[in-house]
Amino acid sequence: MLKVLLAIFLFTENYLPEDTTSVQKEVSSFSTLTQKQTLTINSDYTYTLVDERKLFITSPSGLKHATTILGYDQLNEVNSFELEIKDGLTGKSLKRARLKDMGDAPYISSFSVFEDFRYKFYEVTAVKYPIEVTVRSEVSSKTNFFLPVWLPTPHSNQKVTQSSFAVNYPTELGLKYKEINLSSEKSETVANGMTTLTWSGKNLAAYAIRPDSKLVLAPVKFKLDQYQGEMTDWSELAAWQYELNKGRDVLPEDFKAKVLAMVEGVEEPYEKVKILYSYLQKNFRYVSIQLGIGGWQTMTAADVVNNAYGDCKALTNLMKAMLETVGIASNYTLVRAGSDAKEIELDFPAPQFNHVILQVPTDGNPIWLECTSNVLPAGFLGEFTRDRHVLVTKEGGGFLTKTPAYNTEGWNLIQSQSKVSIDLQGNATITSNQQLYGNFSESMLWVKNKLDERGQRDFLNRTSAISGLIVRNYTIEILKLDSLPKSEITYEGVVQKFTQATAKRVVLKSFLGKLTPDHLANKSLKLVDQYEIELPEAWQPDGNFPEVNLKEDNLSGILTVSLEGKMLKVRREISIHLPEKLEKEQETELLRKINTAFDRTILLSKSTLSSTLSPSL
Amino acid sequence: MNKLFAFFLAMLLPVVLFAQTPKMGEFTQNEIDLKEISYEPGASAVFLVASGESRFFSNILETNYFYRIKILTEAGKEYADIPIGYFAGSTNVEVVSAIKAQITTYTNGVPEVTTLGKESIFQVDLGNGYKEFRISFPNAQVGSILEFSFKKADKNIEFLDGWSFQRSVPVLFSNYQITMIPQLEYKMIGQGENFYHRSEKSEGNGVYSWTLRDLYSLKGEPYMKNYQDYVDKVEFQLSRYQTAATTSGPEWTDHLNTWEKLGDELIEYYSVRGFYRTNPLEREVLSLDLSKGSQKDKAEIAYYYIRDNFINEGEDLIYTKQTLPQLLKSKKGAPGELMLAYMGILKSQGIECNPVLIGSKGHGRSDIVPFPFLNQFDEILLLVKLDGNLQFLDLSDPLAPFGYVDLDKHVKGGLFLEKNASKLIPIDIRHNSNKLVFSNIKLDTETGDLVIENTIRNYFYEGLASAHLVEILEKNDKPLEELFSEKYDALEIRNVKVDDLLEDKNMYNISFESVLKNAMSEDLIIFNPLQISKFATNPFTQEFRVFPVDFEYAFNETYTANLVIPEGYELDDYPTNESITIPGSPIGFSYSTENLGEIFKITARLEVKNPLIPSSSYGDLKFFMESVSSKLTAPVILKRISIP
Repeated sequence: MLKVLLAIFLFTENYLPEDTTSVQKEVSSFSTLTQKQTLTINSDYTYTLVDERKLFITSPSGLKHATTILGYDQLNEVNSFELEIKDGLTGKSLKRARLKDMGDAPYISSFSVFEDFRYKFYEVTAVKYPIEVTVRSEVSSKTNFFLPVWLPTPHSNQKVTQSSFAVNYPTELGLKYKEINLSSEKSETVANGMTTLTWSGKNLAAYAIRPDSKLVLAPVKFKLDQYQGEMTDWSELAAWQYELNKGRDVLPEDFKAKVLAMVEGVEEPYEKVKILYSYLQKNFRYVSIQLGIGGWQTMTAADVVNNAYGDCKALTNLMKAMLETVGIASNYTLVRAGSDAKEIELDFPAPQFNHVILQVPTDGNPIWLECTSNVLPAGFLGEFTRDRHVLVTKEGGGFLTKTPAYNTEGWNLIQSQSKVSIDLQGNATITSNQQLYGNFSESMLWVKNKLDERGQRDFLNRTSAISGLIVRNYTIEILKLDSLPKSEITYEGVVQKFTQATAKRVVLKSFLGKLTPDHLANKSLKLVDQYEIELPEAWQPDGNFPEVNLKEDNLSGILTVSLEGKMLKVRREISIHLPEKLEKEQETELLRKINTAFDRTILLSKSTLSSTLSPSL
Repeated sequence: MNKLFAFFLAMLLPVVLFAQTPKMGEFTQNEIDLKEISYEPGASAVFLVASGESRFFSNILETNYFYRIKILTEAGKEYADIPIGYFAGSTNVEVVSAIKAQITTYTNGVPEVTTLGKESIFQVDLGNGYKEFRISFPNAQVGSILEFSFKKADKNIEFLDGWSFQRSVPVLFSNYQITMIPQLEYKMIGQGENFYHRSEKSEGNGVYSWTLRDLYSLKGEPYMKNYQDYVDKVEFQLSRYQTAATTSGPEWTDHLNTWEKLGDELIEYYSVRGFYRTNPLEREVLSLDLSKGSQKDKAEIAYYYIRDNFINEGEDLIYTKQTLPQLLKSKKGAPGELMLAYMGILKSQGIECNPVLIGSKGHGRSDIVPFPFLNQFDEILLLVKLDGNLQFLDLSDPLAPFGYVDLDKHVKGGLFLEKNASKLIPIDIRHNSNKLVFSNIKLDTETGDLVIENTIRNYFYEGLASAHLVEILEKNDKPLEELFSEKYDALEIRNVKVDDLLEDKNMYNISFESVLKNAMSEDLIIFNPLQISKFATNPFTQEFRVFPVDFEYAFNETYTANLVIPEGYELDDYPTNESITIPGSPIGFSYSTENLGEIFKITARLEVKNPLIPSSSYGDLKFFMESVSSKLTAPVILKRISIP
């Protein structure tokens, strides 16, 4: 469910795999690079980037290092491209290529219906090695809102002989930069109202995973289309974003009347938000159309009303306008979305975002709305946007704040109550009721809304801790306890081979389910499972029932098993609160400890033994 | 297409016939009332109507498409964004036009109809000649009925796209009609259980029509990776065309109407690209000593030369992008190109060798079409006579030893290419891709751990699959322990070692230890002696099955565990013997135990005799596999005894 603006990000950020660890082993290189990039920002806020590079490629694996990809759209142009391939030993020219020789393709995202972003590309081929590839390309942009990123080492398994990046800009416009893991030398000159900053690095070693070393830039004064702004601090950037959308939230009068009618007689602000958010979810769908400045500027609310679809900007803007109509102020908020998205650079105010959500201030905690979701409760953010810094935009300014982390027990609770009746063959019937709260309910939203009945039944069968479950009848209810999502699953079914017959006994292996990293993803877990298992008359306990009592700093767990008549009662309760930082090894060890502790088998004796057993003991 | 044929086509007059095309906005009451699909409850949307009607205008095939979709759930709103893809190429081979679309939503029984304008229809150039129109329906709600129609003109009339009847959601009515003209004769190729047994067909005055109703949605199922091969569809290939009409009747020119002719055209195609010349290849392999040994030895040496000195890159196709000289220069080619070069080397050594065209698994056909229809083939094999024995050879897998054929190419038959003698031949590649697992179970009295030493012998394709898994881990610098998925439980996997003996013994060995730590801390040691079967979890959890279950090949997995009864312990309990199968016995399982004094032996064996099990046996198979998984995870219990 990736949303919006990725195309723009592709211009500014090279999304090759990055190594974020500090120590790496040097490896052999497939190519050696000498590169010089010159970025010239003009006083009319346009820029030109000239990239001159020479690669010495020693093996086929290095060919992709010479691939050139130059994006373009309504705001960006490819001006020139020249390439020459020479025999690396003799220097003989083997091939030349120009702009007309480049391939051309659209950038096709999985989420956009239409976008104007395309790219030109050239892939180098060779019949023998080594080869020397010289490339000169020039691209220009009508805006300095997004500036290129410099990667001293663009690829893994690439040595760099020399790499430099120079940026010339009108001193009056200003420029900000952030060096991330950069060891390059920087120089600065100022002359005739232009400042030149140059970074250069030499003899950089090759690594198996490209080091996370880069220079990121952002303008102080900028212009996108006719919208001028400054991004000295986050507030200025937020103010500019507000101005960019200003006037685009006007609703048609009849729609306004409809909105007012929906909340007539409702006093409580959250109730109003809930009603309007539900209306948005039910009647508008997410459709991404990205054209030019439309990557940052919303469609008008009237167009969204007319089409009943829009992208994240459009749906958020519409929701904001609807709330405004009923007297509730809200703030259009920029976020870097993605379940595994990196945190933004907090000390570097710049357009680091790819999605928009809505913040509704209240006297207490704000209400957060993910306006592209048709299923989340009002006030709950999914893993796509929760627990991260976001930029709240307001007229005249704005501020960074953090979305909720939902890392307390109430947001991470799983409960289940099951009744099982076993027959003499070890097969069973089962009725079960499970309640998932908060984060754990989020995955059930997908099951409920995206799968058909066959798929839902299969999901229950496949993911059940009980092997051999065949669900007959079931219900999946999604409830919204204000902003807390709750999923309630009930089913009845049969379980093939719930117990296993051995030579002497009936074995009831652990059926409580193992914990996985998913259970710990939100640093908090409360898990309570209860079973009432009706045994056949002829079965009796063999030995003591297992019992578990774990008590540690971050963990408590109890397993109790008791027999009342022919009813076996099993209860497992686990409570976990993890520190913010937990290494992968520590997490694995914790899971292993918990699963080992609760992996208990219940042994039962039968009154008659099977006559088919062969070996005697 | 030859000139005479083209000229004659230009002379053809448009043929206008009227078909019963559904009309936009004319709904039945059932369509208006429909809220759920009875045979597929919970379906997010449904194609109420999917209809295509083709007819010829001069040398163009024009097809009018009409679709009517109803949104049944919130998830079904994704069908409100519709892509219409086509191949324009550089000469507008296909042109899509006359797109119309409207959406109808009923509120309290009153329809609200919105006709889409140009602002809701986008055109996208996908590159390489491919284009797409995208329709975004406004105001799409649950219950909305979306309709769209368009016209596609296709200059390619040798192969007609025809019609696929199913979609990713259920289809209630799927109809295709084609109006043939007397001057062109086509072979019709149908496919699918429903197409042959349930379709309503009609024919008259050159108008042919097929209708299927109430079709399941197309969705992937476990153990069926090529369900496209089972889709109900109909296609056409030009067989012959009229070149003149005389008083004695029409004169016809054949257009790919014999296997021989089809084969010769392919051979010509490869010859023009140099693949039937041996001189350049003789020079290529000068460094190889191919003077000694049997034909098989020579073929093996040449196989490894190509496999290890050329980069295998590109799509496996019957057509080549490069000529032989280009391939030899670039040292990089698609599998088909490498195989044809390999053929040249073998021919240069006097070895009889010919290409065989096949329709690989997933290409769209489960059976070979018994007349010359080139579209059914997509990949190449070689049939080689080595020391008097015929053998199929393949070069599509850079890890595969000599003699291995990619599993997607294990199909029922193919087109053997030989000048003037091309013909269909059966393909029957036999192998014993079995798995043997030996486990030795001991209690380490020093550490208190229960140690299970496992050795897995993976044979043939099972071994090759393991080699690929290991290669991925090694490429990503990951530990071999990751061959076994992390279960976060008490058993620790350690000392994983692999031994690649595929080239010499068709065997890939993996050894590892699984360790139950501190096992001696309990009076009863309860553990599963069989550690690694993928069938320890039943893969068949779905309620019903649309496609057959395809295990890909017959195989058996045999598990033998020897438990050394540790001193101070006795064997307290163990699983019972069992032997099960399903009707027809395509698959069987046995589990037995044997007490040999200090050793307790457990043997389990799963045998798949018939790898393709029909969906009608799914219920039995599901129950069977649950019994298998239960048994494969059944515990053995050791009990501490007092030492005298």
